[in-house]
Amino acid sequence: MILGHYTYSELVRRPGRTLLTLGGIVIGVAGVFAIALVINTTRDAYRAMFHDLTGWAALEIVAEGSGGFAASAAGDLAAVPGVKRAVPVIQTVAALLTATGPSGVMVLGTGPDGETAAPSGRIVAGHALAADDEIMLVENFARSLKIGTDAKVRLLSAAGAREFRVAGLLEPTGAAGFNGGGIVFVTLAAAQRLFGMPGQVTAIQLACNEGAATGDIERRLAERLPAGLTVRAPATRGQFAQNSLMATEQGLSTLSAVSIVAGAFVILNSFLMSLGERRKQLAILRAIGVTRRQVTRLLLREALLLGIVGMAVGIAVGLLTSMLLTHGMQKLLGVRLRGMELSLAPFLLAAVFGPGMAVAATLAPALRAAKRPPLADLMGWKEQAGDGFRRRPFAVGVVLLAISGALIVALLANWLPGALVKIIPAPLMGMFLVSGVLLSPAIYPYASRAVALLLRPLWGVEGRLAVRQLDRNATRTSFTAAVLCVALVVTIAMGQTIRNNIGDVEEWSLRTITADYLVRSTLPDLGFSIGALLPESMHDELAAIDGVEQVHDLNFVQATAAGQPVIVLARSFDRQATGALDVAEADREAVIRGLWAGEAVIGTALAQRMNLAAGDSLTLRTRKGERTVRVAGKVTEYVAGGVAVYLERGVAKELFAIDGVDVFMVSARPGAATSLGKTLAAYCQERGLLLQSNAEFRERIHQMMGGVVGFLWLLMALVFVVASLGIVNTLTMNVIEQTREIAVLRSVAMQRRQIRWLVLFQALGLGLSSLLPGTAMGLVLAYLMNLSTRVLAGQIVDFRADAWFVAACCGACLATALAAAWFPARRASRLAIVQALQYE
Amino acid sequence: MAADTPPAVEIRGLRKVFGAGHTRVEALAGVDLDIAPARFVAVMGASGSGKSTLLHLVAGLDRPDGGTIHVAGQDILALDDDDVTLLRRRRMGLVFQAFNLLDALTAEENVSLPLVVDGIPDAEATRRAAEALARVGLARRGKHLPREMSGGEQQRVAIARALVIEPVLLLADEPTGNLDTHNGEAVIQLLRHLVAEGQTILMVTHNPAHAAMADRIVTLRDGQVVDDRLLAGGSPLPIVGRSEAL
Ligand SMILES: Nc1ncnc2c1ncn2[C@@H]1O[C@H](COP(=O)(O)OP(=O)(O)OP(=O)(O)O)[C@@H](O)[C@H]1O
Ligand SMILES: [Mg+2]
Repeated sequence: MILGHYTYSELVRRPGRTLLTLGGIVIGVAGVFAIALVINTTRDAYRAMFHDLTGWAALEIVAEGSGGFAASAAGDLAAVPGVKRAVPVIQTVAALLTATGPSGVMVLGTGPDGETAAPSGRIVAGHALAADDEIMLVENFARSLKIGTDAKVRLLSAAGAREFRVAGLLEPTGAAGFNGGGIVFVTLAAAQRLFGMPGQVTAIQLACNEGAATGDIERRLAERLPAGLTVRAPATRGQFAQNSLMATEQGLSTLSAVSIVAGAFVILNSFLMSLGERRKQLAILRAIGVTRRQVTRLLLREALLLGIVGMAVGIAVGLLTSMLLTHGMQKLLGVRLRGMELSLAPFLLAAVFGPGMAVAATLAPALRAAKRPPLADLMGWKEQAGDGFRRRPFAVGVVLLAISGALIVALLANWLPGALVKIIPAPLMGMFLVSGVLLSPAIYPYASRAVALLLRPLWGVEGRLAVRQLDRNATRTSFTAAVLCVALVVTIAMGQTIRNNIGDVEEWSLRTITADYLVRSTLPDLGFSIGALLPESMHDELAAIDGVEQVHDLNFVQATAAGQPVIVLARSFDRQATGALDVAEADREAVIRGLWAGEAVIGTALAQRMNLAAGDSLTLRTRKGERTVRVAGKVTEYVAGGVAVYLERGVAKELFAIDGVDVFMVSARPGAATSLGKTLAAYCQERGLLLQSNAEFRERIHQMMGGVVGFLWLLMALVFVVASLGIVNTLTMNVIEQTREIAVLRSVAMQRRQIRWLVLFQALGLGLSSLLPGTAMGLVLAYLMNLSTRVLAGQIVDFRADAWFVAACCGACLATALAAAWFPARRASRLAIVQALQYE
Repeated sequence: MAADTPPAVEIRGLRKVFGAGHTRVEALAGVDLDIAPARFVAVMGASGSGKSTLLHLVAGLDRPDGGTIHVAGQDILALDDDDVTLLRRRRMGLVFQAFNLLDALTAEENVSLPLVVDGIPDAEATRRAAEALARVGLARRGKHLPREMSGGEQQRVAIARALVIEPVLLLADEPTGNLDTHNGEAVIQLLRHLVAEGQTILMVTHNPAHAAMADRIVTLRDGQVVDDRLLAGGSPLPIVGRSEAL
């Protein structure tokens, strides 16, 4: 009990240290927690959205490419064993035109069937649907558009615009919660008229008997369905966003590994420091009969206590962070998220990593502390030259480096199974960084000697004394330098990768979107699930506008190719459009000719995933059954993360029964761009359409990435903060240890300013000695990440080392070191000399 | 005391108080003291009588609560911290009971430190350090680290460090306190020898035999000078008031 009290009073006695350790744990836990939570939330966002939309239906039957079909084509579904009820619906997207502009809405048209005609949510105003010219809206959504019951609104679809009256408002639950309330309920008849598909539906929703195995029913149905129709779980519509999100998710999980490693080293650092200070006390405990095991347990209990508190705070901080991050992700996704998906996993991770990393980081030093001969510490005997080079961490470092090296090679050579590839990057990153830190005591002396040699002529006696002080505590110093080094490595590697990738995306957008203007109904979402189509007749209208040189039609079709959910990009090509494809093959002409002949051009990501090359064949599930097309070539593509297939629009129209256009790409005659912009703006204004200039489109891409990139920068800033905490720690420790020496220097010769420099030079020494290894390792890692992008995301991005960026990172590294040294330096310079001379 | 030459140290009404209320201690309660150049003055007194405090104030390591201190005609209380440091660096040598060498530096580097900090080129600083080490009889130990030397040797290195700047005043607080009889004798002989060369020394000691090597013994009690007597140039004379001092 007394020992327990000792733990507590020890933590309270040094509030700064305790807070620092807590800070490390909080950083790690918050990072892991927030990122896990956000990935969970966004990964499930689409699935959950479509799950809500269908509610009771376990399965649905849809046409390939998601167009309309005659309900009778599916045959007598209720006769299939296990199927309880089959309800035909229209569930497709239109643009709701209001005074505030067009908004993409899901239109759900249900039949007179009692159970489904009335949407599940409670009616909060007006009445249920009674006529075919009525709609019901979701209350919060209607409010945001400033419309109430009885208001007249227009819905625009591929078949043109129609006017409706708002019959009632619903509470946003169940299907009404879809995409933040962006859903409109109409009668089936009204939907058929609106979308110009008389007698047709877009889905037949199926309820299954209680206890029936959905998988079996799905298989039975699949056998019975005619070509062109398919059965699936409603939530699978969410898959289409998955591909686009993958790279971001991977970036985030890698960062969570970084935050753990960074956090663990803050803990290790401050724990080493507190042990150093308490040597004598621990020796006294040992001398009066406290056993080694009790000492170890005492120290671990301290760590555990901090770990638990840190976990709690970390979860709170993580929740806040994830809100910010979710906001950024929402921008990227283009759909409204329902809120946090509070699953168990992030909490479990936090519980493991909070106390876990606190204990893990303290275990080795605690064991060592318990093993120390008490007499030496009691008598205050100085250790021999420095605290020496330790074999065990070095060995562990070598092993970790070997393992991560082997894994990187295996990853790049494509030897790893797919499931492993998806989860490996984060642990790999963690391992790589930890091995770097563990090996640093072996590398640091060389770096430090180089720095000392380089700067000897430049800095005076303060610099020399500083270097010696650093060398004297080689382990502590090298761990601190390593943390700084890790900050630099992470910043350079992640920053380089992000910059290169963004550069690639921007180049791609420049190359593929050559049209001057884009006309569309609403902005698309990442999964291409809620974009509304425009009437095809608009093509001719647009082409007839003065100043228009050319109009190309583009459709995004959710389809299945080679068994994968892909986005089919259906567009018209002409000879000039060769430039619009970011073709990897040398012979563009041949690729375009292939497209005209009905061949497909695939994104590099799909090619990588399915191991396809030009000349191979690709199986598409179409309205006409399975079709095999030849792959004409590969392109860099960022739509759907590159898991995309280009088809000539005429070909695709037939294969997927496309009716309507997602985007009209309008090119102006030379010199007519500005005046055409005005004419088009008026045209779109009149029809409630969205007009994007080429610059605006690219700006939007820029912004979409901006949210996530901003967050990545924020996390990197955090990494530097962590590193600076380590430096504050180490330098404060150095100053405390040097108290007497500083007093001697002060009494013999040195002014306050010089003492301050003595400490600042230590920081500078730390910073400088981490620059070279940090930059080298950072660039190597950046290059490896670049290579692995090919395997992980299937994107081939040119690697360009940006000298200015690297220089800026190095500058940030030195600035961080110096800024962190400020307080220890001040403390040192303000020592009361007389008392300090007596300091033991 | 020669009245024609200005004193090396001139102290008037020096007061220093530590703490307040319950814990208030008047370490120095009005000390007046003049030290002529090239004299060896020993300060004695019971533990807690204010000897170290006096030395610290003269060295400008701490500030008094009253009185004045002039060192070589310079009013050190009028100087700011930087200037006092400069004064210490260029004109005062300090020797402590605990040697206070820097562990990481060799003897020679320790000795040359005040010069190097003052911006004197390395070559010259090293040369002068070697000279100073030679003066204290350690000419061949320059490359040794403090931990490779005996206590007596370390203290001689500390004295060399104090001497290397050719100080106006050498301040020593129990320089023999951590040394055995033999080494203590050697250090005192060295100091005595320096005075013969014209060095002014103010030394605190508990050892009557060592004090007897001085030109003059000042005895403190409760922060006041209670005895002040001249000796005949380092001869071992009996000391009056010795029983009080101990
Ligand atoms: N920093 C301080 N805070 C409080 N009191 C102090 C401080 N320094 C000295 N004193 C007190 O001032 C008085 C004089 O102390 P000083 O160190 O000058 O004595 P001293 O004569 O050198 O003693 P010793 O022979 O033991 O070294 C003592 O009572 C001491 O307790
Ligand atoms: Mg004393």
